[in-house]
Amino acid sequence: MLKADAVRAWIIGFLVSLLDVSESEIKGDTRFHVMGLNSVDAVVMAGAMEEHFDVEIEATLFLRNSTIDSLLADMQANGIVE
Amino acid sequence: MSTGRPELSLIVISYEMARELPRTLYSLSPRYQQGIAADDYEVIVIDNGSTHPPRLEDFADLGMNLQIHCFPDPKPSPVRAINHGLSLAAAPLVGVNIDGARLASPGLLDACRRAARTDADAVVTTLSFQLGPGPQWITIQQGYDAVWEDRLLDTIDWRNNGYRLFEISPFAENITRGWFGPLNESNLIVMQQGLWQALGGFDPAFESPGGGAANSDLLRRALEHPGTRQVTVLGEGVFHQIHGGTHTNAASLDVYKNAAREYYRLRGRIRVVDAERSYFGPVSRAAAEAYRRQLAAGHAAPSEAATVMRASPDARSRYLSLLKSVLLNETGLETEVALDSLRGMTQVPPAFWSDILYDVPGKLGLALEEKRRVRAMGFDTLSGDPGRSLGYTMIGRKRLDHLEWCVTTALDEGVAGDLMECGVWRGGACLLMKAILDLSGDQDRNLWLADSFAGLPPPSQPEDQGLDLSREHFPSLAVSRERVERAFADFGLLDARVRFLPGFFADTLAGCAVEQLAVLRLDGDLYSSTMQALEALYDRVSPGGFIVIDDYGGLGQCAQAVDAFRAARGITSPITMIDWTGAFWRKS
Repeated sequence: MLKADAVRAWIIGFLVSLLDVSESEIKGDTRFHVMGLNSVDAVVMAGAMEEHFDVEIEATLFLRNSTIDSLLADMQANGIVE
Repeated sequence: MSTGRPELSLIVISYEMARELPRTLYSLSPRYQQGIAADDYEVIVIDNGSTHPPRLEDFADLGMNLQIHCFPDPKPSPVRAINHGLSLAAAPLVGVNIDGARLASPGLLDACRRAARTDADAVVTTLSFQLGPGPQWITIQQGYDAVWEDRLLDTIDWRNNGYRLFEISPFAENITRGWFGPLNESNLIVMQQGLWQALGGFDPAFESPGGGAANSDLLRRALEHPGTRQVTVLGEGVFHQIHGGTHTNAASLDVYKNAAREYYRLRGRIRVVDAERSYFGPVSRAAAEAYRRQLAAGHAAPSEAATVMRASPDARSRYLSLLKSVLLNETGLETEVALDSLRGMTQVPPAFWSDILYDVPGKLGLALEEKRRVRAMGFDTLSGDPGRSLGYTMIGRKRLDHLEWCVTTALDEGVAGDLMECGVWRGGACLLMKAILDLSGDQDRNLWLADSFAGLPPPSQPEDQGLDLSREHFPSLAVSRERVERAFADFGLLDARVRFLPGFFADTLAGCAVEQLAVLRLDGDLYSSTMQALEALYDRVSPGGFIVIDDYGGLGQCAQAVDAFRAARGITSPITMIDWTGAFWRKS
């Protein structure tokens, strides 16, 4: 299983790069759409995360969560993250 | 039929597109393209392994400089086929259309050619639309298919006016961050031959079916190449026909996910290049309309001219009746009642979503009837939370009917002056007045909206003590000017004759530009607001004009101000009640 801290750090780094924003703008409880992320981006993030961590992640998991915090909680509930 | 070296080579990739490719080639032919001659360009179709590849003779009547090649080593990814096409291109300027199912708009090739001339290292990008009512990967799940699309195309005679493609293609797929945001790919991309060579064409490492993110990758590499400048063509576009395409029509999210996965594996990060761009027109009227819809979701900018309407008496009556229903949110009462049922709850019962919300008459019938009565009577003003109504007005059907009579009478009798409301909340009464004004054909009268657009002031005069309706206590009474303006736009009633006077009455009314009034409607609740409005504006009401007081029966403070003012001025015209709270008189 993946470490929650590592996944969180990766997500933040991914969003910083994708959205060209500073790290301070990415908060755990900020809604993705407020950051400028759309559903296609969310699926793209799923693919990148799969590749990075070498795991299988359902794309819908990214679509049903609107913040980093809830996404991580969902991944924990699904046994992907510790 | 080529007579020399063309200026533009266009590579088009096809795979199992017997239905789509003939249309695409027609849209690229000189019979359809405007501003560009047949000899100015060549189209090179690379078929990537179709069971029945397209044949050159089938397109002889298009009069175009066309080649069709069958790629000898077809793969699920079209990337190698594209690079093969690039090796055949004879022109100094080369475009790639990665998907042969994409129709072009009539000025596209000429616009791309001219856009490329604006910068030596221009990366000319284009907008991509999808035919049909929405994103095709969603609409196909709702029944959108080739038959549906054929029918749509038949209705617009696109072969004779390709700009009508915009009418049936509201969804633009490559501008997910807005019209002036970065493109995530360009389905038709045009660059100088030398730049293509410097980039090495498409990267054959992208082996996913359909090319995965190869097209996005190509754009990003082009934009990150030193010295290049993105020039996006506006007013033209490509329009995707539904077909068995791997990406655009993919119902499965996994296709997108796997494309991203491949991209991340190859590039190590994912980024959209958002550098400064140039935009190149001209923009057709049809495209401008598409932009307007997309940019503002129907929020039209106010026009200088008055937006008069022409309607038969019957249509006028039905329009105004429907308008009143919408202003009162009579058509949305079920939702309001459903939401009311949740008030005070800390958790929403699951049955709410599955049952109650969809059967309000059955589950909350009594509350619904009560709500209907309260709304019709305009009792929302009296309820504990005056913002409870989700309509555009709280004044009820009877006061709306009466306001219609006032405005109509003033117009019919030629009473001089503008219309005005002081204290507009969400603008409902003003929307009705403006609709009546437009129906009358009047193009000269203004409609004035005076409001703080930030709620009522706290009580400042002795008469108002205890009546604190300020934003702090009643945030629902504070409605921004932007929201009211937006409502006018939504109803098609926003033009330059709608005039806003933002600020508290004490600061704005005395020195305002209002010259003469035919109807003055006061809805300021407080003694101070009512008195300030009367003192500043009453003398501007024309003889025969109407003064309407919304809170005369409902709020003693308001009535006190009216009575004191009338007494001080010796006004003897009788004041008449409209319903339980509204009152009016005509200036003699």
